[in-house]
Amino acid sequence: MTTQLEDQLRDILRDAPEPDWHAFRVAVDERAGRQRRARMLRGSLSGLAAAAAAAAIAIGLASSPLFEGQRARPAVTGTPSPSSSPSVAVPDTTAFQPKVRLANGRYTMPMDFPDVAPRRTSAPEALTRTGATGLSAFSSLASAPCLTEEQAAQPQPWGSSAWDYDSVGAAGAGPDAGVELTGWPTGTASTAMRQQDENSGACAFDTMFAKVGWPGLDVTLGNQFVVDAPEVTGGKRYAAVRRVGDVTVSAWAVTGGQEASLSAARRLVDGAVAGLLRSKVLESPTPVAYEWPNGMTEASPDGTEFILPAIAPSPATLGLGPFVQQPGMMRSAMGTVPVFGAQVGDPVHPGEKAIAVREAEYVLSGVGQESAGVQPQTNVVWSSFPDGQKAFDEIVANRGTARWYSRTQREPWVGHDAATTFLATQEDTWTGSFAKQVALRLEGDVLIAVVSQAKTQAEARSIATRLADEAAANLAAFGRGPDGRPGNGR
Amino acid sequence: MSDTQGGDLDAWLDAAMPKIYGLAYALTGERTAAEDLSQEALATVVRKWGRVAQAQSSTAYARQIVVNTFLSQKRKRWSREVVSDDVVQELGPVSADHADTVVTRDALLVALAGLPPRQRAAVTLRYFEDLPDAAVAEVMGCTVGTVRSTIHHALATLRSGAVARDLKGVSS
Repeated sequence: MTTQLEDQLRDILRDAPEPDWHAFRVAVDERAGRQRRARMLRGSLSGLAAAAAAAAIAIGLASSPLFEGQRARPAVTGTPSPSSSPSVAVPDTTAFQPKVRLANGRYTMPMDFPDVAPRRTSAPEALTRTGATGLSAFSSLASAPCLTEEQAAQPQPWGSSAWDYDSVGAAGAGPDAGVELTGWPTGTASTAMRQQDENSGACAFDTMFAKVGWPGLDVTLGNQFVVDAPEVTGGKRYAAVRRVGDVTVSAWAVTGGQEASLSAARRLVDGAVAGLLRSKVLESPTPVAYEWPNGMTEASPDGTEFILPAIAPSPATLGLGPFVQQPGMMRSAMGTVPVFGAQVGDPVHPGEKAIAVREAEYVLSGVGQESAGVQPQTNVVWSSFPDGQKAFDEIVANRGTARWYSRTQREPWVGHDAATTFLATQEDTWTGSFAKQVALRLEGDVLIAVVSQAKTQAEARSIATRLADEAAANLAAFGRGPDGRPGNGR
Repeated sequence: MSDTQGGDLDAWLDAAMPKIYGLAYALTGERTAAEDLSQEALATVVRKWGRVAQAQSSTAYARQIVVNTFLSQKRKRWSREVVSDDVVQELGPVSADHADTVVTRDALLVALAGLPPRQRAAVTLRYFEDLPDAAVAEVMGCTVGTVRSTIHHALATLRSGAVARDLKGVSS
């Protein structure tokens, strides 16, 4: 029996104004296309995070393990010379008004950043300024993307502005340097700087990095990093950061080797810091209105609690021929289907759910690979669980939140511990055209799940096992955060 | 993607768009926010159609994204961000003409907008989606008992809040 109130509720909840369905569908397709093109929507606003994250997903990690928990090793080549300006006194905090979200979806931001990124003669000689990203709700810190989910680590930045630079005479293959000013709630930027030094905050590197430090400055005032960035020539991004009150001023550069690039980054930072101090805007920050730019939105299926490292194997290193990696999800809410591609999410059965998930997709392309217009696909999903062994056992016993999609036959995996690894064939009832293989590896509380398709079972098995082993090796190489979890942890 | 799969996707989208948009509207009460939420969720399913369609109910997957995103955004708004006077004004009652115990539509709308996000989500999943409590619990990641108590408190709040607004014409 329902009450009058319940009936009224149904009426009200089902009384949505009718949208233009044609325009709605067009918007869905456009968003899907945008998701395909740029997985890291949030970071794309700042420029820095998108490049690092998307490339890490698209290409995979370089091989050298530089991060070892809290004791990240300094880079081995070159020692940065002290900057000429870090001795300039900077305020300890900034009296920002709180960031306010209005009912109409807009924001009042604590302030807008002045254009203090060095130009012309004040910029390094080889660089010319090319573009700018105005005030954005998404940020990065010294090239590390920042989370904005409530359950993620605190503090979190409230917004940023960024500027790009090209090398003089470069042929437009993307920026070679950048400057970013990032604002933090009053009194928290110092904590953010300290957290980044141990890669444990809301802004965390998800590729290998080396801590260089900024001579003469405490880590709460300045730092430098060398970060793996497969998308740039040389495979490294060189970043420097200083704090001015509750604003962090970061720069990165890829203008040569380590010494030259860090020197350029430091000069950009110092120039921006000097400009920021001259502007005096931090003495009395003025709140400003903020509206999402066209096509951008805060709606995104995140929900992750921390940044898992990018451990997707590079197709090239596996020598799998025309094996192409698709852009995958940076973070997702897919924790209920950990073996994506081989399981059905079952809402009836509760089980271990992941608190952070990342994914890589691969397609086996080339002549003769496709069947009925479909190319064989492989998914690598790595999920962090509160209790990884419990999650693994549930999956193997087929009694977790998700269940096998079709008949799954376990087979021995030579040289692998049956308590933490699982290899199986599965009927491909979806396309009916391919052999399908499942390979799972539990590494601590992180489950690596590979589901592959190929023309033959042997080929599918080879792909699945090699990708699982390679992903596990990448995870081990990345190391552990302060709490023992991979990456920054919580 | 084959033609067959493409056809399946088109048919699914035609059917799912009103459901997912309607759910988003029921959660947010705002057309722009509803379009934003629903389009992003549907786009995610479109992009991953081949695997999502075989992994689970595509509509359930899109529903989960919408609810997760709604709760995530609301959580930020409620627990961390400062609500401005603009919000209070916009959430104020539109009409207070009926000073009787019959809850008016406007008063109920205002009371609904004032619910904590998890209460709003639970109410929406039960009364918009007509999901059984077990399914609501799964979507929200809690127990059936929590769902029932959440909805109980939400209905009590709606009833008392809406009546109060009708009687007094005040905003909270």
